[in-house]
Amino acid sequence: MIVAKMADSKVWKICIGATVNLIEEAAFKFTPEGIKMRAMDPSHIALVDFELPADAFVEYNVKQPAVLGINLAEMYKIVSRAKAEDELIIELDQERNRLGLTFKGASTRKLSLPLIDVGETELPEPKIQFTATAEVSAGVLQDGLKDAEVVGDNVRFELNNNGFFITAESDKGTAELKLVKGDKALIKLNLKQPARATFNIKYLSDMTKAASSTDTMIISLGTDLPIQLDFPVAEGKGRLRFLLAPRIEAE
Amino acid sequence: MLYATLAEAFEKLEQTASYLEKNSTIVELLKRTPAEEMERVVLLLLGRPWPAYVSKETGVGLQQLKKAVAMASGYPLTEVEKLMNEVGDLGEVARRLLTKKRQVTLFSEKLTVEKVFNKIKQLPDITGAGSVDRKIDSISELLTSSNPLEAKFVVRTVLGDLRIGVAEGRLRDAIASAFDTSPEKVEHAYMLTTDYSIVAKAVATSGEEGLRKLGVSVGHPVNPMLAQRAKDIDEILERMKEKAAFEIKLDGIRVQVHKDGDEISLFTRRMENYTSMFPDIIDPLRKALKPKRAIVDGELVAIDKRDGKPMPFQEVLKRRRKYEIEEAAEQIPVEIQLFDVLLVDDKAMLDEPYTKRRAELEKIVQEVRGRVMVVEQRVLSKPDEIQKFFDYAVKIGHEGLLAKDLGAGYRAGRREFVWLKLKPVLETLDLVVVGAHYGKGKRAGVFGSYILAARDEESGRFQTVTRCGSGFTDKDLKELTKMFKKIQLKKPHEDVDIEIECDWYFEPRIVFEIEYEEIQLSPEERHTSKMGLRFPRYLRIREDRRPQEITTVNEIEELFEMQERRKGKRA
Repeated sequence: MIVAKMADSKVWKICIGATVNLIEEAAFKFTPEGIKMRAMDPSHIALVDFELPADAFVEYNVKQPAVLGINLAEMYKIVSRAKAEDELIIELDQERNRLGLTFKGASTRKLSLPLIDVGETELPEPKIQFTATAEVSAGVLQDGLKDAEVVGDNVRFELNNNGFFITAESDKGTAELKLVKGDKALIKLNLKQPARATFNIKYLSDMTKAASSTDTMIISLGTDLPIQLDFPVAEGKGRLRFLLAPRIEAE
Repeated sequence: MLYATLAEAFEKLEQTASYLEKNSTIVELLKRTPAEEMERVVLLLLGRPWPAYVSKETGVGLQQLKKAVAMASGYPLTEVEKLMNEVGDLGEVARRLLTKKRQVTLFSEKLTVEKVFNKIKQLPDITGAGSVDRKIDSISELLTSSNPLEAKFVVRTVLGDLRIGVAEGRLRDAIASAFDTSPEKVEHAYMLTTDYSIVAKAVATSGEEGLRKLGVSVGHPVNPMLAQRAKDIDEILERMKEKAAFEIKLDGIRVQVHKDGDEISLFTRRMENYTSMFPDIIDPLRKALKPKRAIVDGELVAIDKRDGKPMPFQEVLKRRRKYEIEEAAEQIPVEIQLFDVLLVDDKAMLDEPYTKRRAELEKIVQEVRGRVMVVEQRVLSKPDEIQKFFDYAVKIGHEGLLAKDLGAGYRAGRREFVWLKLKPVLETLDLVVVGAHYGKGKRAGVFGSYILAARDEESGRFQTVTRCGSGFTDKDLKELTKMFKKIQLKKPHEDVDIEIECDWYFEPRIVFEIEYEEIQLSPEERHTSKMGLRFPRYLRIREDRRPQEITTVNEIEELFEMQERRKGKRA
């Protein structure tokens, strides 16, 4: 039996919304401890790591661990139907091999989708030596990425003693975002060593677009290393983490 | 098995022109291949995830593939196109760009043969909305895990243009030496299955015993049995021990019909699937063939709508088309004349004698008038009766007669003296094109004459016979030049013996049908066959002839002797 009830459907919606553009299908592991999903896009450039522990739910009842294969595009269509502050109940219909999603708000609405077969590959947790982290406002980051998209395909992230910087440059022009120490949108800045690396904008905007602008996210960087983006999930109990491999800058 | 192993072998094969080195590279690769990977490796060596007779394509165009290369390497499409214009081979472009790739991956997963094979094989199944993008994604997924060399061959395989020079004959020899058996045994198994991947797997798993167990099966075309040429009726009676079955020799398209339940498939002599080109004959065949499953051999002939008489070969060829199939079927109706049976339900008939096969054929075919017939046949032993039957066959518009040894089995893929053809006139020759010279004056800029070769039966090599510059229309010259430009080589192909300097040489692939006035011994121009033709004229391309099936040097020598005998009679 699998029943999981969360007070606000938004958490689920953000998780699926941020992942749906990167991967088509994913294996969600339901265990007595909670729900986990780790998947990589086909090109092995981006990784999603999602975890929602049992205590993030109002009600959580999973006796036997189960792996449920889900088509994310279908799932996203369904969670998009949730209204703000709707309660969400996730339920497995074992007999019909379907996953039911119930939205409880002004009314009770139930939708379901068929489960699919997905290959279950254990992805290792990448160990990366980040040298700098910053907590920033999601809205500010989203704006910076949109600016960068105007001029190019790639964007450079930099964390140094002065703050957080995004730059993009191409023959179409340049775009720049600065968050210096003291700016309200730069909530935290921790440096062991300044770091910078370049990434594909499309992946970054796919990952960040599901966040609401009032959220914050934690950026971890190392020079020419993958970037890690952490979204707060369920008051810090859960985890929604993205890793994106860098591009090599032209000499 | 890692795809890198295969890619390295491909690269070696591409880099060497030496037959021996190529052979040992393939042998080494086959020896290293585990039996369960054998089919995939052999098919990939031949350049497609399907055997040659399966008419499938990945359906991925150059433009889409460029996008996948751009995605996987992290370069903009413009960069891919720029480099493509420079080197002209997207495989090489992929190799170069991936050597200095811009986009890093999180994990590098090593590509396996299985993954590459399955991904490419699945490409045609990606259909519907957004299928173009999903195909690009699927390929770039392979490419991001590729090392530069792997990427080169993944791209070429998807394009259907592997260019490593592994022909089927070469594979036969390599399989034989890798698994300690003879090329003849390998070839025999191939003739029954038309699929070297099955053959290689059988011999890798259970040796020669495995080869012996391979048989014909519905859906897998069998290499057809072919006929030798007879000089005259006397030769036939001598070779066939005074008695033979004579069938009318039809001038049409040879097809092998496979029936599997309600499904009917047509394969040509070259194992191409022609089913979709002849929708009008499928239903009659379904009705005419009584067993649930069967393989029968026959000839498709065009029928004159007005009088129901057979029409020349050129007419039935008009039915070989991809478009306007229904209209053509309406204008040029066809009839199939069946003359042999290879399989009835689960019983293979190949080793049965001719008489038994013919009796079985008559039993299992319910003739449908003007649609499905069993070819007219008589068992004869008297020369005057044979002559009468021959004259009758020619009079009603056919090519002549085929004489068949009453006791002979169906020898798949073989051309032996148990089937003999008897035709009235000195025949045209089918020769393969191996080189060309640019024309002058009106013909400037196009190839004005071609060097043609016959096959030496013993060595399997192609030896030149003549230079042909007449019989071409202006349109022919233009189209042929365009066609040959695609297979031109700076040096003579390794399978060709040629002493004439050409502007361009070709892979021996395209076969011309040639008519001529006379055969000469040791002509003025140095031809490696030591034979020559006077006044050769181009008639047409024989698309139904493989280079292995063209006129042999031996046959030209025989024709020469006949010609001299006739001259003697006249004088």
